Amino acid sequence: MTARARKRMSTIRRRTWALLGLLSLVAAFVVTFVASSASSAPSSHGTLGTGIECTSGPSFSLKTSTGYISQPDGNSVFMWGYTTSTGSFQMPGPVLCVNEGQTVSVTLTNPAVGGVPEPVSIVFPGQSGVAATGSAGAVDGVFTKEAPPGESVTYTFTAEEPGTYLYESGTKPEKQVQMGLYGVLIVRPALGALYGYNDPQTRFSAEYLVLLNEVDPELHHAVELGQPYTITTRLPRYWHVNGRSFPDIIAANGASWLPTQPYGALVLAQPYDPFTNPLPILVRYANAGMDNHPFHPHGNDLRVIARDGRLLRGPGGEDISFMDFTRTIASGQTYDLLFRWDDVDPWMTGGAPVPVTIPNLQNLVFKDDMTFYSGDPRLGCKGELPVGVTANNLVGEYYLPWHSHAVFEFTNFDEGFGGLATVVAILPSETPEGC
Amino acid sequence: MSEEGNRVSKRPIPSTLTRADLLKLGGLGAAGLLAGGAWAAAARGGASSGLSAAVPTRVGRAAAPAAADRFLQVAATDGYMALPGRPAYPDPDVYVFGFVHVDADATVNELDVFKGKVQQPAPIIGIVDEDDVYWTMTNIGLVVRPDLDDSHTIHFHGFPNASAIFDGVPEVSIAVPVGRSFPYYYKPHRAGTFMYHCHFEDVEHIQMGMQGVVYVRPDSPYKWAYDDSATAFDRQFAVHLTEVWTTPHDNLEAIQETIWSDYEANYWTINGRCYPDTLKPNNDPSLPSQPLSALIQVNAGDRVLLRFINLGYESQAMQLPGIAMTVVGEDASRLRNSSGLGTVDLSYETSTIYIGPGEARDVLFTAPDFVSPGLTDPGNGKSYNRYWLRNRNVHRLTNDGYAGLGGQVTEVRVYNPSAPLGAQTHPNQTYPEFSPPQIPGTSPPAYYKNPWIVF
Repeated sequence: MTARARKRMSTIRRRTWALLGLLSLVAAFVVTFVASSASSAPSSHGTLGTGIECTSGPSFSLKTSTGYISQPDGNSVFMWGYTTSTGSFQMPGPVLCVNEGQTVSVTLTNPAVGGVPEPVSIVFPGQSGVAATGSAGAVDGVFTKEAPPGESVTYTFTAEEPGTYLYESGTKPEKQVQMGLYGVLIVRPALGALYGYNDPQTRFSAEYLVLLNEVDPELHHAVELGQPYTITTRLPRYWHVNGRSFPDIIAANGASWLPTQPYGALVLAQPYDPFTNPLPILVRYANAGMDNHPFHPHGNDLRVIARDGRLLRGPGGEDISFMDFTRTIASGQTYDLLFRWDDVDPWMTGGAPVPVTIPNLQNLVFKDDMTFYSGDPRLGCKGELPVGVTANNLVGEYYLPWHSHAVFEFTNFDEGFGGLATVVAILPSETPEGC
Repeated sequence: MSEEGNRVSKRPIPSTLTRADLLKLGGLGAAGLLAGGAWAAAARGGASSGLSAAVPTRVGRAAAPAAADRFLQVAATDGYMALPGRPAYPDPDVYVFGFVHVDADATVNELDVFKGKVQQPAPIIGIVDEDDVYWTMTNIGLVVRPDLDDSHTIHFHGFPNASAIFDGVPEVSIAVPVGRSFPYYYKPHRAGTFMYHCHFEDVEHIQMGMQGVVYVRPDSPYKWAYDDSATAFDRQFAVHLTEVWTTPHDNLEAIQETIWSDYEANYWTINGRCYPDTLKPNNDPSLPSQPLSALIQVNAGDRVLLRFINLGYESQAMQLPGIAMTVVGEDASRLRNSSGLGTVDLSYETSTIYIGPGEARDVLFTAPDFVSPGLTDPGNGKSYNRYWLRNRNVHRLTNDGYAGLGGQVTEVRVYNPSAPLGAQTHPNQTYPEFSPPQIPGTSPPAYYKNPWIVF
């Protein structure tokens, strides 16, 4: 077996693992929600293992840590990361959730043992009036106060504006952010935790984080070996959503086989219905990388409602949100978007047969002899798949990828259908008649 | 007979229809069949004038129109494209994959003549809001790499709320192997500029050239980009940006693998051509695989719609010095809040169209007054003023480093109104333009290349 073939087998095995995780998520959703009366939207997907898992504030005690993450092609990469003071190494840092108006304090300790062997810090882009006080050995860095090994710094600020923000290292950021010292801060509006902003139109049924980054494993290897870190040689080989590369990203939060990468991003949605499913899904994009990433959701356009933690409003307060089928997220930028899927044609009611004859599936190709396709073009219906094709579909749901359209980023090193991507699953709200 | 009366009735299972059935339904008898969507247009009532794939007008259409059925087919194959300055080794032409337009009801056995006759980029496809679009894709295989039995798909990029089976992502639906067809179906519910590409081994197949513009026009007798008179235009041009990284093309031809994270483009194209080829007219015989011109020829005072798409893997910054551009649509949504339902016009005037991979912009400009004496166009003898449309990422104004200006550059030619250009009958019209190469032995003539399929 060649190295390439081994790698491919490894990818396929990993994909199978990810699929198992995904299927358990969808199955849980189906059992707890679809099979119920579906009279109310789920308040949270957190208990089902996907969606945003908050570390709640307003006071946070973080530390630095080092460890390894796992890539779908079998590689592992040495990283530096933020974690909670009682936690173990994780990538990315904890999702810090606070409420508008709260005084937020973040104490960062850089342990002498197990921490980062150089001064570290946190900056909070989008926050104003951040004050920093340090322990006796803390030092003033270029951008903020820093904690050398064995020291700590406490940053305090008032969370004045609701929205999605990055937090990241302010020390040698070309090295430390690339090494993994970054995370997301969510400021919830005064209107309530089920709203993105102080506007009733921003109420959501569920929320998801899409936190982007790119990884050059050669740079990480240099740091691991104590060799020079030369940023000008940077050539990303992996791309992350929430610290994982596709397809790992569709496995559950806290999947046991990704012990240092706790956050998934499988998006679960159901068709819009004005009575039973009226609320959209809130998607929070944040780009912690150095490159701009054009992110393209299949399924439906997303409404861009906020940029860098500010609701899109004109000078007279008018709504200036807009629809996009690709949004380029600049380095360091965040966007908040609303997603809903409309059964406009309609594919689910059972009254509208697809107006073409789908060829015999034996005469078509299922890539790698597996598919997410149900065997029936209608939402909620299942058909027969050819013998030998592994069926990953549970109840006739649709799976649609959301991915970088700089398509070389939609890979793991050299294997396609990986990297900077996740999947949305469109689940039927009932089994339509006539399947 | 009214136009309504001529329209083909809606049929639930078009794959069982033959072209002859359609023509009978249209009451037209033996209308000639052509390359292009012309036969379908003919079935709608334009029989005698069906030879040109003209943008049909909807004057006289009933107040509450029924959706029309639109049939088209593309075939997936391979071939070579020309890039200026490319050295003789390994090959002066570059190996590519692509989609070509073929007769809508041709079966796979009738498509051998198209094998290896690739087109770059894939044809512009223009369809109508709320129509039923039956878009067949047939995989006729690769001539240069017959060992490479790659499947293909159509992904209608930006098309909302499709069934997964029509979304074209092979891992979550199906792919079409060599020798097979698949009937994609789309019913657009809004106007705007979209794009399409193959999603099978996407990083490779998109780069290899399986990409094109598809736009939806409003169901209106007027030339509007959106259902909004503020988007009226006299002439429209697709401006399809992409890049070529020749390494994987040469690797594929030489049966080698590519590491995609090494991506490093060395040619930048508009409508599949690098400057100076961008200026050559449509169907120029010197560019047999690249029939779509990037030249923008307009009369002084014309309202001009540029439909920008970017299916490369890099962001670009297109400028048109001397002429202000107004962005009226983004990603096939009119730039108004609430997706066109709102009251706030978000259009903006700009000198730079910054456009990322997978993004689209609908851009209007008014051609300035003609200033004498201008230049003389050797192709048509008319006088014009010259403006440049080019990428402000100026390191990309090169053809792989070979001498002279190259890459994503073309001209906007504004003609003297005393000897104006004729009205535009199809997108990206050039004056003059060549006929596409005819398939030998076909009568009435059929053609290898059809750069635009417009309904």
